[in-house]
Amino acid sequence: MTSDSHNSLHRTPVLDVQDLRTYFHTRSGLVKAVDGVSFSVARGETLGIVGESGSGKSITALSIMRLLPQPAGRIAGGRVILAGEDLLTKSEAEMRSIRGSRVSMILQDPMTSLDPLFTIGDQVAEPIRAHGRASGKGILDRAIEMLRLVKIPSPEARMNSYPHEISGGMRQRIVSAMAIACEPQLLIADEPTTSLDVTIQAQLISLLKELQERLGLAMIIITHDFSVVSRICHRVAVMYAGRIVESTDVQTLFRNPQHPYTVALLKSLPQLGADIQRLQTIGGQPPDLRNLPNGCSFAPRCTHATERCHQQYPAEVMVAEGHVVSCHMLETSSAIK
Amino acid sequence: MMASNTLDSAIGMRSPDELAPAPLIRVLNLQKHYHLADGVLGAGGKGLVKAVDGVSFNIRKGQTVSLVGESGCGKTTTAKNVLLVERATGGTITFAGQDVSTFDRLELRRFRRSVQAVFQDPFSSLNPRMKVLDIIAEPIDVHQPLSSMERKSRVAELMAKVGLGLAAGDSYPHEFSGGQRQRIAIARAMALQPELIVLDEPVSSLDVSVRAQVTNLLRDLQEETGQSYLLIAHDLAMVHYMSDIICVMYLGKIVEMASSQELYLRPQHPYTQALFAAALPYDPSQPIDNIVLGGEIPSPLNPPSGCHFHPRCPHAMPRCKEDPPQLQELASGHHVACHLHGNL
Repeated sequence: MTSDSHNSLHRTPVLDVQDLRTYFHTRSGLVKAVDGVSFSVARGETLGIVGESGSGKSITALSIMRLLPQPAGRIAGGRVILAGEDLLTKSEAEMRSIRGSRVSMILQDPMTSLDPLFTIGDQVAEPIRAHGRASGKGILDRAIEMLRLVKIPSPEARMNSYPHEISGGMRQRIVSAMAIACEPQLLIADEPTTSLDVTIQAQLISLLKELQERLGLAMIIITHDFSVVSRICHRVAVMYAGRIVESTDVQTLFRNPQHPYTVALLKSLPQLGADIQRLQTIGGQPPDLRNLPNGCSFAPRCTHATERCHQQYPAEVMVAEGHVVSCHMLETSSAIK
Repeated sequence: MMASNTLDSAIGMRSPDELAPAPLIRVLNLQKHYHLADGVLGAGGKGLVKAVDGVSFNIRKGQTVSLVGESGCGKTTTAKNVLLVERATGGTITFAGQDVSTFDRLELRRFRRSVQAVFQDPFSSLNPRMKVLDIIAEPIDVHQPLSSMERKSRVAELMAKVGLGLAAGDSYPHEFSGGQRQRIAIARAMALQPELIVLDEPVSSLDVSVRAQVTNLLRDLQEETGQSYLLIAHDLAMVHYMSDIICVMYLGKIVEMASSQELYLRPQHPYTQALFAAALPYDPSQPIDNIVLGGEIPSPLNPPSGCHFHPRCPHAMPRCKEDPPQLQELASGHHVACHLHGNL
């Protein structure tokens, strides 16, 4: 929950993403889905990437995994450094041995990430077998151990069940078991709780936290849900139209957000307990990536926008230790902060 | 079966001596049981899903009543019954004092004009081959055809009301974003000046930054027209903000019902408490009430005995396994079905 204990662990990042650019070539033109994104995640740390649909958060994750839709998606630049090695220079064969073993991923819908024709046991055993983490009877033993780790009741019996026989919450646990079966350094979870009921979401969040502590995972949680962020993340990067507009520790994000988009977004959410007469709204619509405005992408919806915002994209400003914001408004005042 | 006079006090009558008008919709002991055809277990007996099992609530003019709960709790089935898309297998629904099961063709037509719906996904609820103008005008064309001049001006009026530019009329749904499509769906629902609009997760498919726009729009329109809402949603913060009365459902039954503020301040049922705990405060420096419910939502095909919630309840007592608790009034307008409260 606190950021202090994590800042000290910091700076031997497991993952270091530098100036990542992912473009899509579509019939209606070039779409810069991710346009110069940089962040890092340390061991035992959870980074939240928050944003709306089209902000580029999922494409960022798929770029790290090198799983972009082909041939439209192309990584146009940047570096994705996992424990000292740039993943963008790896061959497809090398990537295959990295995915599921050193980096793994949990997707939103557990029904589509499990194969309906194979048993739970087959599927949890698959990464263990494929990456040679055990052999013979050892594979099944390890699979059962994984199911126990994600708190599946009577794991031996569950090994023979098929995905359709279990609930959504349990399926997401199975997917989590597959993801951690080879003890990855980095776990990326893309909207892991979105398809689950509220009380089941709470269960999965506490499971992910426990797994992280136990295995020392570096985690990236991609979500649009600020209550998930507040519960599980240490640091947060807010994305808008393919770029990170603000990044800071989770406490600061909620207490002292600086970018007008973050501020407006947090104010527009109904909060339990607060007696709000009326929700504040953000005018306009999320931008069309094929037709981004010049200058700051948020400027057309921003109540503080000036002439300059419409012409030039703002540089990153460090407003406090570990708190970086891209906004012209803060450029002048940065010296004081 | 619940005495209806205790129910009335739950619903909107803030002071008992106040003479409240008859509710617009009165749902009394609604049941919707589905028989599973050709099940291995045979008809009747265990092959029976009690999707809605004895649900009662009222909706008054200008009120927003919400049904909240997790998947399988029966909230959508209840709404479908209120819309008369599904026909109840037990209990009664009255609309403006008349039992809906006695409606003749004309009365049913009148009902369909007065009760409209807005669904979750505006990508599938709008016909992609129709122009926005025709989508919004369709209920008018069906129920009270207007001359083309009048039709045009009525649609323009509706579009202005929901904040769509006039030019939008000649476009097709795919040209709009989710938030704007939901505005189109709301304009269509309002075309016949209905008395009740059923809102089934109206903002949950929208981008976070446009949810507040649509939520505020719904509230403004209600203030202007006095229409009632039956809201189905799972986001408690949103429900709390929108509703007058909240009904919390679990496996086909209402387990707690109270005014929005009362329910938030004094949730009594352990399930309601867990739902509120899961809908966290956003400020991570606030202490998190860490009630993580164990277990899964049981299958409605084979619900637990007694109180359906007892296998997951942190306070379950032996009695909860056998004796299903009845909904009873704890404080004025606050109803709970739990053995921890009262002594029925």
